[in-house]
Amino acid sequence: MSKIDPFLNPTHQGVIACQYCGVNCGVSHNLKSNYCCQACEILDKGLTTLNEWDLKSNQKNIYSDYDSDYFYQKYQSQSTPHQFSFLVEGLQCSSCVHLIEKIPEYDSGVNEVRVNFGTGVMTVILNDKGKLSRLMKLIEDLGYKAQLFEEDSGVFQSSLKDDRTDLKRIAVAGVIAAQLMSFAFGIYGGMDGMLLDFFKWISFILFLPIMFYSAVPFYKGALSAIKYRVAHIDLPIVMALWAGFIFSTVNLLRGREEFYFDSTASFVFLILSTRYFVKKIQKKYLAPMNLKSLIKDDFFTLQNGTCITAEQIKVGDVFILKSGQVLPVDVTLLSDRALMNLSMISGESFPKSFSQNMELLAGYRLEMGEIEVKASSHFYNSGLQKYFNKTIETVLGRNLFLNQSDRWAKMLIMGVISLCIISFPVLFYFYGFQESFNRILALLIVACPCALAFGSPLTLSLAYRTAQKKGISIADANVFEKLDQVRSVFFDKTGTLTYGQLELNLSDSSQVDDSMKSIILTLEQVSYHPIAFAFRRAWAETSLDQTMTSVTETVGIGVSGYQGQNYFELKASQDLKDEAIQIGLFKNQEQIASFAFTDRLRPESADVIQKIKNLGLKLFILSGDKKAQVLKVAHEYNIPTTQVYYETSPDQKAQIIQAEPFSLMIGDGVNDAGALSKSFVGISLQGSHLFTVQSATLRFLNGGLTSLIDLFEIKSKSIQTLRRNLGIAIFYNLVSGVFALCGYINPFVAAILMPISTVVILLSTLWGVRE
Amino acid sequence: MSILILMIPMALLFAAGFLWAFFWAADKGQFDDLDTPALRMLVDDDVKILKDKKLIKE
Repeated sequence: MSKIDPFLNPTHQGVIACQYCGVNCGVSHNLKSNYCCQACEILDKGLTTLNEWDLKSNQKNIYSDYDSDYFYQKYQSQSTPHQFSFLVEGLQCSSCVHLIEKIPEYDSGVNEVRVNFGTGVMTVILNDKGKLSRLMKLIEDLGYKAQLFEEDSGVFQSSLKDDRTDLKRIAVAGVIAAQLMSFAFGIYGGMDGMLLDFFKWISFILFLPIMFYSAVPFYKGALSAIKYRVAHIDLPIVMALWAGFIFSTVNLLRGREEFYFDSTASFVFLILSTRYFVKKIQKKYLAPMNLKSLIKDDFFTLQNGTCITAEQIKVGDVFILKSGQVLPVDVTLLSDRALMNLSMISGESFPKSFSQNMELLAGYRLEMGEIEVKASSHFYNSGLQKYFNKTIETVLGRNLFLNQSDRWAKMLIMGVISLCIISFPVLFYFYGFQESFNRILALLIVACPCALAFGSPLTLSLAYRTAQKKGISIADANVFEKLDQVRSVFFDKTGTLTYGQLELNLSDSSQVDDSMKSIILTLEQVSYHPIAFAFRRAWAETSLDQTMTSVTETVGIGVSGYQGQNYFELKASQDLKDEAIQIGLFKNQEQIASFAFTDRLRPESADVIQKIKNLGLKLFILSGDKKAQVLKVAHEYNIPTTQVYYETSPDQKAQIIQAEPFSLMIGDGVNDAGALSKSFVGISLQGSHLFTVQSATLRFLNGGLTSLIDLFEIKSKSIQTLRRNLGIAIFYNLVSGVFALCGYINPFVAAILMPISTVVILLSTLWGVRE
Repeated sequence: MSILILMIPMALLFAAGFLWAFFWAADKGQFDDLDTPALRMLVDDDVKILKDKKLIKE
C-alpha cells in the first residue's frame, strides 16, 4: 500500500536531505523531487500539486466500508464522542505534522486533528458531516497510512496518568529540596536561638511530603523486591531514606545539630528525575511497537453485503476478497480461478494460480480481481495464527534475559546491605551508637549504586534515541549487549538483499523495438500482475498502441489482444528455465520475443555485506527461493556456497538459526518470522508483515539495509560507554565505601558525593553516545 | 530578624502556589506531548495550501 517505490530511486545509496525541511531520510519518497515526504513536497510547491491531488480524490474510495455504524461505534472514543484514534505510519518531519493538522481547513467534516509525533498517534474529532472513509482516503492521498485503533484499549490512558503522577512527585521533591537547601544555609551559617528551632521544625515539616508522597515509588519497588526476593536498587534507597529521616528526627528532638533533611531531599529529587528521564525516553521509542500488536485492521464483505472484521468471520461464511487483500482465515476457493501471492508465507516472488475448490491458507494475498471464498477456519485457529502464537510465545520468553550491568548493580546492592549489617556491630563495639550509625548511613548513601543503576539504562536509552533517528526501532532492552555477542549474520534474500519485486531483465535489448514495447504495454494495460508492473516500470516513457482491440487477461495464463488481424499473446514461454521467470510474446501462436524477470539486488547490499565481513562476522544467506536464484546472489557477494541455504521452508529456517548460537537474522517475510524469533537478534525490514515485525528484536524503518551499519556503530559506542561507566562506578563505590566505613566521610559529605558521582556518570554517558 | 517570621511563610506560600500551578497544568495534559509542539511552530502559517479551493466536495 506504500507509495514509496524503490525503483524510482535506484542511484541514491546514502542519506538524502529533504529540500524543504532538511530532515535526513534514507530513501526519498520520490527521486525526482528530493523531498523526504509528500507533505514537504505539497508545502513547498503550494498549489501546483492541486490538480494531481484532485484527480486522486476522485478515485473510488476503498475505505467506504468504514462508514458503517458498526465501525463508528467500535472505534469511537468512550470518553469523548466523535473522537477517533489512528496510528499513522510515515511521519518524517515537522511538515507531516503541519499538513495533517491542517486537515480541518479542507475537510469541513473534521473539527480537530492532533498528531503526536513521538508515538505516531493521531487523534481526530469529527462533526456530523464527517466521514471516516473520506478522512482515511485523504490521509492516504497525503502519503501516509492510517490505521484505526480502539483508544480505550487501556495502554494509553494508564501510561498517561502514570506520567503525570511521576511529574508531580518530581515537582514536589524539587520545590521542597530547594526550600530545605535555603533553610540549611541559614542553619549552617551559625543561626541560633528561637530562630534556629523554628528553621529546624520547618525543615522537618517540609520533609514530610517527600517521605510520604514523592518517595512512594521507592516503597513500591522495595516492597516488590522483598516479595520476590530480588535485590533491587529501591531497597538501599529506602534504607538510606528512612535511616536519614529517623536519625535527623531523633537529633531534632534531642536538640542536636546533625541532620540531613536537605541532602536526603535532593537525593530523592535527583533519583526521581533521572528515573523519569530514562523512563520517558524508553517509553517514547518503544511505544509504537507495542501499539501495533493491538491492530487488526482489514474488513471483508459477506455475500449479503454486510461488512465484518477478520475476527468476526465464522467457519462456513462466504465472503469476498478484493485485490490486494490478505486472507485472514483458511478458506476454500469458490470462484473459478485466483492468482495468489504467497510471498508472505513462503518467500516465493512469483504468484501462484489456484482453481475452484482448492484450499487457500491465511496469509495469501490476492493479486488481482475479486474472488469468493468460504471460510474453513476461524481467525484465531488458522494455520498461520497458530504459527504466530508459537512465535509470540518465544518472543515473550526471551525478554527475561538479565543484562550484565543489572547483575553488577544487584551484586553491589547485596554487597552494600550485607556490609552494613556485618560492620554495624563491629563499629558499635569500638565507637558507640552515634558514630557507628553515622558511618553506616554515610556508607548507605555514598555507596548506593545509583550511578550504575542509572548509567546503563540512560546509555541504552540514548542509544535507542540515536537508533530511532536513524530509522531503527528497538523492542528488546538488551539488544546492544546481545549485538556485541553476535558471531554470525543470516540474510534472507527476497525482499532483504533484493527489493522483492520483479524487474525486467533484457539480455538483448536490440530485439525489442518501440512498436513491440507499446504492444506489450497495451496488452498489460489491464493487468495487476507483478510482471505487468515490471513492464510498466521498465518502459515508462513508451506510449500505448491505440489500434489494439479486445485486450483480455486470462488469470493464470496471460494477456492477449488483436492489432488489426494479428493476434498477440503474452504468456509463459516454452523454455521455462530455473534461473529466472521467462515470458514470451507470441504473434499468431509463434514466439517472437522472450523476456526474463529477476528480483533486483538492493544497491547498498554489497557495501553492507563488505562492512559486515570487515567486522569479522560470518555471513550466511538463508532463503526460501529457488537454488539458482540464491546461488547467483551468493556468487555476486562472494559468499561461499557452504554458507548458503536455499529452498528452505519456514520451519527449516528456524531450525538452521536455532542450531547457530549468537546469530543475527535479518528478513522481511512471514516465512522469516520463526527464524527471527529463534535468532539471538532478529531484524525486520521496512514493509515487513506485522507478525514478522513482532517476532523481531529490531525493525528498520528506512528502506534498505544501510541501517545495519548504523546499528553496529551505535552498538560499539554504547557498549564502550557501558563498560567505562561500570569501571567508574565500581571504583567510586569501592573507594568511597572504604572511606565511609573508616569515618572519613560523614553523611552530609556522602549526600554531596553521591550526586556528584551520578553527574560524572551522566557526563560520561552523554559524551560516550553523542552523535 | 523578625521580618523572617513574615518572609518565610510568604516564600512557602509562593512555592505552594507554584506547585499548585504545576499540578493544574499536568492534569490539563500540558506535559503529555513535548515533541510535537516543537515541530508545529517550525512551519510558517502563511503557506496557505489549498485554502481557497475546498479539496473535498461535499
